[in-house]
Amino acid sequence: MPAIAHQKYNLIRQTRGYRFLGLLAAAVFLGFLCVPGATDGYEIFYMGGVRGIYNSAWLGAMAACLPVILLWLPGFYLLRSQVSEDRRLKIGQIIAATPISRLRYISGKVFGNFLVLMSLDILFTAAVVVMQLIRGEVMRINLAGYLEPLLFITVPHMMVLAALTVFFDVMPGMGGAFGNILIFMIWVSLTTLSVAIPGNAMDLFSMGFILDQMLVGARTVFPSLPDAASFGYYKVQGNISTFHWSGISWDTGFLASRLLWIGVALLLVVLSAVLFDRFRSTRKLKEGKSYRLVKEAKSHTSAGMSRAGRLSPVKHAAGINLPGLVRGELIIALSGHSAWWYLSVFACIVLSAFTTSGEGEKWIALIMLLPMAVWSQMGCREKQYSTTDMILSSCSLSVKWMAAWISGILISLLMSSGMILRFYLHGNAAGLIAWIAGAVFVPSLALTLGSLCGNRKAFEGLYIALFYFGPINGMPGLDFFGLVEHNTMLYLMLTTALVAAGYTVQAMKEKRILLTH
Amino acid sequence: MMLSINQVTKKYGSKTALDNVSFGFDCGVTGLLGPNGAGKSTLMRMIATVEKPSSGTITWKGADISKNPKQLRRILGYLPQDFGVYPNMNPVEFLEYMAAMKGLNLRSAKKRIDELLETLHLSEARKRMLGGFSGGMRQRVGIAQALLNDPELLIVDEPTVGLDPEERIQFRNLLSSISGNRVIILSTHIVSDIESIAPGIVMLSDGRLLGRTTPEQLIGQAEGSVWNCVVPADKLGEMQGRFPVSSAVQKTDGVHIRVVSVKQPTLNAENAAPSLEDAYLFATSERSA
Repeated sequence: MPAIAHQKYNLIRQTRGYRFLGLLAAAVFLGFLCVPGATDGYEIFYMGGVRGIYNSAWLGAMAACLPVILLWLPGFYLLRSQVSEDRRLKIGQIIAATPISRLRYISGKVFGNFLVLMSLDILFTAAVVVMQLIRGEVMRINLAGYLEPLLFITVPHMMVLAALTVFFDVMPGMGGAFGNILIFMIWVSLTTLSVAIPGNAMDLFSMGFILDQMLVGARTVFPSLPDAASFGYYKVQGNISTFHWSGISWDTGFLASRLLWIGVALLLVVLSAVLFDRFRSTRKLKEGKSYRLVKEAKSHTSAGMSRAGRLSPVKHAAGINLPGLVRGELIIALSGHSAWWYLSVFACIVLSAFTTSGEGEKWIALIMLLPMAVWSQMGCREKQYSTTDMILSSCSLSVKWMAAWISGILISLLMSSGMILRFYLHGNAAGLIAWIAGAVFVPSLALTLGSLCGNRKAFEGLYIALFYFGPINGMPGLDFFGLVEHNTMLYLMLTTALVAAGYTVQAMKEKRILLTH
Repeated sequence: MMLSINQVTKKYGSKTALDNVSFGFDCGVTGLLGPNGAGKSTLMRMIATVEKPSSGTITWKGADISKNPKQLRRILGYLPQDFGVYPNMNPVEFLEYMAAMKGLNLRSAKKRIDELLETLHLSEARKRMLGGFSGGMRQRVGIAQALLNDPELLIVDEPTVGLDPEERIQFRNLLSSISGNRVIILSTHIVSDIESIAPGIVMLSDGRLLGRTTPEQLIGQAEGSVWNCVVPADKLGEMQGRFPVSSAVQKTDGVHIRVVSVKQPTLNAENAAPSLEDAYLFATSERSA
């Protein structure tokens, strides 16, 4: 019974946030968007211009594949700090003093996250079921067509995801930006592996397994179809051809591989329980870094503080001390990192100026991932360190916001200094301007998202994804550094919009039109 | 009055945190007393321009602070009840950053920062990261930032939390030494802190003003209403249900309790001289009864 109560309260806590409600609404909305009508002009699944008739088998299989793309990363970023949250809310010490074992606490967190993820997935699937009836191509609902993929495909990978959310939270060094980048890499690798080598036991997402069977079904009607299928947004002209697909054939080898992944999830739970420190290192983890404790020599004279009456007077500056504020912001942003961080930054700046790269400049652009954690903190630092009230009673929020923005740009330009020199030496003025537009866009996005969302995860998740699809893969419109195509005007306009939105929100908070707490 | 609270009400949704409160503050230390949820922190946050009243006005030297908060912020020092610091800054950097926020001339601020660190016994740790500071040291950094701009209005919310007894006494001395020409509002649960430094007390309960008094007047009101008596251990719960009990000590002959009541609680109860804590309990229990 205590175990059930523990799960119940874990679930209640996690589902009462506005972020969960936002994801819930998004899940339902995406469920509707992912089943486009014959004349809607787009498809979200490409298979040589054909698709299956919207029956339970086809839509059930799609409902199992799509959460990999739509839910995995947002779900991870939503749930990845449940243990840290207990620490931040200062209830970790209370929990540590209860008889709950480390394994039970961790498994409770994992199971709670799993239930949250599954509730999102089930709601998405329910929306797809409703869409089957709305589209009306086949009115008979075959529950097995939806439930079997949910059970054999979604449950194992959601268990792994839930276990990863907690593992990354308790594993030293994974709690910050590095962990966010790593999970993105893991997701990209597993997705690529899933589509490229279908049917292997290492295929967590099983997308290739499903796509292969869909292609086999499609070829019985359209033999000349290409040997490829993928998910994405594809424009369609005219009516799309359809075929009847009877569903996924499950084999014992595949089902055994699912057990393997459930085993991996359980292993991650045990490993997390071993790594979990039972809230011993409160300061270290709350502040992301350990600081040497300062010991005081207790030699205070009783007169000590009463000297305060004889303190020197202080003068006020004529106007706003913006340079002083920017200096303070830069100190907060750049001090306290490890020697390796400074060394890496210096080496990367130098290398980015002079190294020649066969693959093009996109790999050199990766240096702009180094200050990601610095930028992501800018908009939510006051909340993280509980300095909001002190700042609100001292200074205008808008001025403070502007100082943070300027410092973010200065850091961006410092990181870019090698690239700027490189463009200059090559006489590439257009490239230089496009890069600077990107270098101004990134901290503007970070500051605005941090201010609006109150956390760093929103920017880190989006930035990693944008970086991967834009500068690295050159997806049209997303290359904010202008390495493959110059989007200077687009990103200057976006920057202007972001700064205007962020600044307006600060001004509204200042006038108490928006609540700050 | 330097600072006036005029019919101020603060609502959060349907909950009223402060209900039509009016009073004023002059130079010197004024203690703000009241149980949890009385509205003390809400009032202090509004005076500190962190929040705005739902209705009513707060004026500093006759000017409405919500119309021009920047003007008040220049002469305001505020130590919130729950605050943090940036762990990767040393105290000098942090105070210089706060000085920039408060719009201070950096050269004169540097001198004052040095003096404040000396006064608050933080000089030896001036180059150490705040992340390694103990709770008491962080509290002193908070006090330093509140005093940085030589404030005419100083608001300190539970300032002695985290300080050891010696530091608490020193902090009280500090407030006394600077209280001559400025308004200091001190909110605390530690009644002895107020007793030793605050000549004026404002009492709040349930978002309403209970009264404005002095420690002597408050104690005078409780005269004849504090009792010492001994009761069997199994009667303690019953006594606590009937009367406010300010202390209970288990001894061999029973439980020695101190009761605050107009009526004599037991036949063997003896009248005792009230402390400020008894008087506070008497005032709040009388109102709630």
